[in-house]
Amino acid sequence: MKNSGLATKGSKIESFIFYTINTIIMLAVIVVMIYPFWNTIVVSFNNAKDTLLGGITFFPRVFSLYNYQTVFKNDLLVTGAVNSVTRTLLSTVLGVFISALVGYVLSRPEFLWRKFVTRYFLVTMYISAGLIPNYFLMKDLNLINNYFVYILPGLVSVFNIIIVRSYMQSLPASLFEASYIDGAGHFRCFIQIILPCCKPVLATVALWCAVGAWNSWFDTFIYASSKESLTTLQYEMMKLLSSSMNSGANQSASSIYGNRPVTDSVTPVSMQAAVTVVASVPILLVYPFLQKYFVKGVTIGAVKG
Amino acid sequence: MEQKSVVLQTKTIQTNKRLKRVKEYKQQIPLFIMVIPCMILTFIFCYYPLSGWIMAFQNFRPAKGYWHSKFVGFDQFTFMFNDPVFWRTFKNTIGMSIMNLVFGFVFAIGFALLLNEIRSIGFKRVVQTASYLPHFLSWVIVCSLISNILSTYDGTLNNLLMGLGLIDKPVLWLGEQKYFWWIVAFSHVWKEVGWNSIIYIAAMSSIDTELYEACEIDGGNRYRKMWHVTLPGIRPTIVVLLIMNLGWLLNAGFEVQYLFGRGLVMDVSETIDIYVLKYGITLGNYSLGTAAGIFKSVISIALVSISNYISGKLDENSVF
Amino acid sequence: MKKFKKVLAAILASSVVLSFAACGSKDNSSGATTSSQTSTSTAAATTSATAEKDPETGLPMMADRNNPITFKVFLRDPGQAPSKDNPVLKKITELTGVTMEFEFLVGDLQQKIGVMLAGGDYPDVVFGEGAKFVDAGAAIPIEDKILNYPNLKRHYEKFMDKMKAGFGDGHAYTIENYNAYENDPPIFQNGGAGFFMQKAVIEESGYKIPKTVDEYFQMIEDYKAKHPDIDGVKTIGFEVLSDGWRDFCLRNPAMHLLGSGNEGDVIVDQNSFTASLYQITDTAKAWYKKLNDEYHKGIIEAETFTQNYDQYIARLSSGAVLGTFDQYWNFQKADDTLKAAKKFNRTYIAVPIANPGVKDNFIDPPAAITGTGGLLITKNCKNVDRLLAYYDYLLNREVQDYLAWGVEGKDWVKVGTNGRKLTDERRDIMRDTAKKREMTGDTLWQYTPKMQGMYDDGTPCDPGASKEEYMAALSEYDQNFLKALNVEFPAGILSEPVKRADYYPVWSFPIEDGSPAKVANTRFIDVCRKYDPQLILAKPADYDALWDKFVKEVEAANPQPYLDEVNRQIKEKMDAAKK
Repeated sequence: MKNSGLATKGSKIESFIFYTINTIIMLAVIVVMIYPFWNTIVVSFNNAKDTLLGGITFFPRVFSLYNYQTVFKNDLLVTGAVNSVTRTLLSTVLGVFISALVGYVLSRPEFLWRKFVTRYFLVTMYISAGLIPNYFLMKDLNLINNYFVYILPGLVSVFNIIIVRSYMQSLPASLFEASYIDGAGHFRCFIQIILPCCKPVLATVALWCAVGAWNSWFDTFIYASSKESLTTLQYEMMKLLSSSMNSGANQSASSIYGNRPVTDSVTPVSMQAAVTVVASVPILLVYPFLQKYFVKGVTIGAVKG
Repeated sequence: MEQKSVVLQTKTIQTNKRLKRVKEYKQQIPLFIMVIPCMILTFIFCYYPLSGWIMAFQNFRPAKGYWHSKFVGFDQFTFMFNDPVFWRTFKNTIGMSIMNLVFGFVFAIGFALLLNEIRSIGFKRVVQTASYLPHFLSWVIVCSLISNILSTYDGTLNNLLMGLGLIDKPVLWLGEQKYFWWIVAFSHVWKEVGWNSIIYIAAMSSIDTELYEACEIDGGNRYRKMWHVTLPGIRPTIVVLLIMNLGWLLNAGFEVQYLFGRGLVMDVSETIDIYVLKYGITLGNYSLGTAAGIFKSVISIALVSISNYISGKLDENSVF
Repeated sequence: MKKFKKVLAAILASSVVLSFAACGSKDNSSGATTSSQTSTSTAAATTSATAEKDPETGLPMMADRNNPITFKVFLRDPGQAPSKDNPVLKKITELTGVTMEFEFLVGDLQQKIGVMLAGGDYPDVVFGEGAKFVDAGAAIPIEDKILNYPNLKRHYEKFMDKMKAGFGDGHAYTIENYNAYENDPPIFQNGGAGFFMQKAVIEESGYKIPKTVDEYFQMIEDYKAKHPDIDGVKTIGFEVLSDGWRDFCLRNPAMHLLGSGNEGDVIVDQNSFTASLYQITDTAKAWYKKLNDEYHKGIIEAETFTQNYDQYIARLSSGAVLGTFDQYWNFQKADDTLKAAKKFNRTYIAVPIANPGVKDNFIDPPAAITGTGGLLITKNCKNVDRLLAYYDYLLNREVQDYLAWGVEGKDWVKVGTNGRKLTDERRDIMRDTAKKREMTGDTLWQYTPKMQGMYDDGTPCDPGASKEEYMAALSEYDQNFLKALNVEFPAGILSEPVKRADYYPVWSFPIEDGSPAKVANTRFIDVCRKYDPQLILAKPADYDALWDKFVKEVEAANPQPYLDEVNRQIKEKMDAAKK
């Protein structure tokens, strides 16, 4: 009795120390992790010329909205945003579904082609044909300047499939057995039993798909840059960024005399900051929404109960 | 008679086996329906364009296409393998990759474990959200901030170390070869630790709460619970990620190295990707890039197979 | 219905031919060849300007203006296309029926060009990397075609030899839209490579102009000793930018000290026309030794070898940097920031530094077209003749004035007989990239054939060539500064530009991708990148040994294939020019 009392007391003190230290560590993490983003926001609200002098850290020195005015003064911004949102939604929904589907199949130990199919998919993670062969492919498939070039090539993500599969493998076998005893087929088992249990990993995969689709601009650049109606937000942002790098010092126009002083209120550093904020805030909002699926143990318990 | 019956028996066994097999396949038709369309998609987008690897054996010019470019056999590979610069970048790539891998895993898992111990859900969410913010910043921004922090000219780190009396004059962190890999590794940790920990946090949320209760009843304290319940709970995830990442050992990236790369640290900063960029893409030599890609693929698949084999031996169930 | 359309087209065509003949009377011969040559050339005639004038602007109009056509143009420069309601571009489209759709570069140029060529998906016109398109057979030879259009002919005929020599196959493929001068413009300042010095340093030394490396650093040292801080920031003597492709600041000074123009990675003997490496000359050795001394004296901070471009610009913008070797456009942002902050004495001027006894040679004379740059019309072009007619139309003087200067009275005013300067409002617009893009015809002017320099009557073709405009934009401090130096323009303290040989400059040579020459080039430049900072930071006692090691490594990198290729092309271009 005495002993256990001491132990509780000791563990309480130990617990207190642990939580204090852990909280301090986490507070430090918050500061260290938020700083770069905070700094980016600060720079985006600071006068561009003033930013050039350096030394902007926690607060704007000369407040200005001009960077944002430049970003939003773009004919194609709305088109780009619409395309980005739709492609993100489509890619995420389809991507999660496919990862879950294939993951389920590969997690079934009785599946006859299991080893072969797993390897068939796995190999593709480590091979890439390269830019030009892929361009030829898209051309053959008539995907150049076609909206589906944003969706189809990335639909089957092997990495996501493997992650989902190994999560499913870690689910108690009793889950599956129960459903088979009930006489449920694979489709029913997949939809009704397995999917609900996989919420945390599916939320993770959804986040990966969404962020991947949202952030990509290279496909627009290579496959769809000559069709304005297919532009994406990220591509418009890249355009802004590269044009700001060019302003003032036009490489081609660096003629001997053409050096008028430029009073531009936009610089690459400031543009980069504003562009980062505009391009990342929408997608950042997705995460807190998904976080509720990471709550410990809820799902399994529910199913078991 | 006897012989006949034996033959008959084997026949029935064979037919039974075959029947069983057919039955098995029949039962699994739904599984095939689920997976075959995806296999076709993968074939179209990943395997079919591999015919482009033929470029590696040519002196490929985009304007001439596969059909009219000159075949040069293994020239591209010979150029690469005979080039000491290539092997230097190979070494750098492996070195930085291993450091990134080790630090990436240790910090992400450690962070997920600590985060898991926070009781206030609100605080947990704030920490988690904050931690993944840097992932959304481009390397340009992150490297610029890091180089400000490391500056000898009023940089935070030098000021701090001087203030503590640990150094007596500012250190040119980015100009010294011996620090370079560490800077790259910690830049990665800073940028990606929160992002990489998400999957572990998701995996932890699936651990059966009964296991924790059982451990508690056995008198296990917090560390025992971490060691005996949480870590084993996420072990499959760790192993799978580790094996898959080992396959990418030759992809140490190029952005950070490029942004921090200066003449002073050139010998340790250049990766294979930068090598390809320099001697391949920027010179319009796609063949070299493709040859390097093939080389990387071969190594990758070998690495994955080996690590999978080893993990199968240790774990008694291989991943693939 | 179909018949009716055909008849209408025929009527339209014939009427236009007539009007072309009328307006092309200045240059009858070219009009005649146009209609006699081929059927497509007749089509060309249908698209030239009519005698009609636009009532609003007084500009001529094209007969085809009611038959809209869009040309896509890919530009190797990053940038932003003007919005669709840019008034000037709208007007030009209204008068010509032609819309130019500019696609600026966003990602990596080589990747973009690679897929364009591989897929055959290039636009009507391409600006940049002409050699690759020519190599791919994607370009249309234009030497005969442009002579069919009076303005194009008048403007380009004098450059034709150089244009034909550019790609080595005797054809001209690119219409140079930069540096094809009418008459040479005045040179106001060094906009390219040079040793730059803060004006305050020169002012303090009693307006003494340094001529050698020793004098240059002596002045910087003296100033720094007297002013250890500038506006509360520690004074930095000299910066050596070493970031990425911009590290020419680190590598190029020796070339200029030897009195060479800005060739690139070699110097070329102007008598024998053979190229050699300046990176391993005694001049280079002495230059890095000097920097080594200055580093140990604290004039150069080690930081300069690790900082990125943004940090470099921040240092310069703070006004605390006394000198730098750079190209003006590369740090113009910093100079402009200082001007905006009214710290005029902290802005920079190029000084004539060269080896003792060598004449400085920083400024290129005007009219140095390269023969390989400019607008390239691809095989995919929908209607070459209509495009050329459009370019021809743009070269009308009224149209050029409208694009480059704007409207008289509103945007610019006359000074004296032929001088011009912008109005204050227009100058403000021209100084702001975004406003310039949205409110003026600048983008179109930049990326189409244009008049540059001075017209025969002495009128500047564009504000950049106008002396009055340059002076009007100059601050009072600068005007006094120039007076004290006793020069009219900042360029006055540099030597007069020397006429360049016909091959000049080497950096514009097309070197085949993946060839041994290109690999060799990358190789030995990498060695320089690696060793140059080490040389500067080395202990003085180790310097000579390190230098020897460096030279050995450069030789081991085998630069010979590159030198051979450069020599071959020099000879080829010199021979072509002789003919």
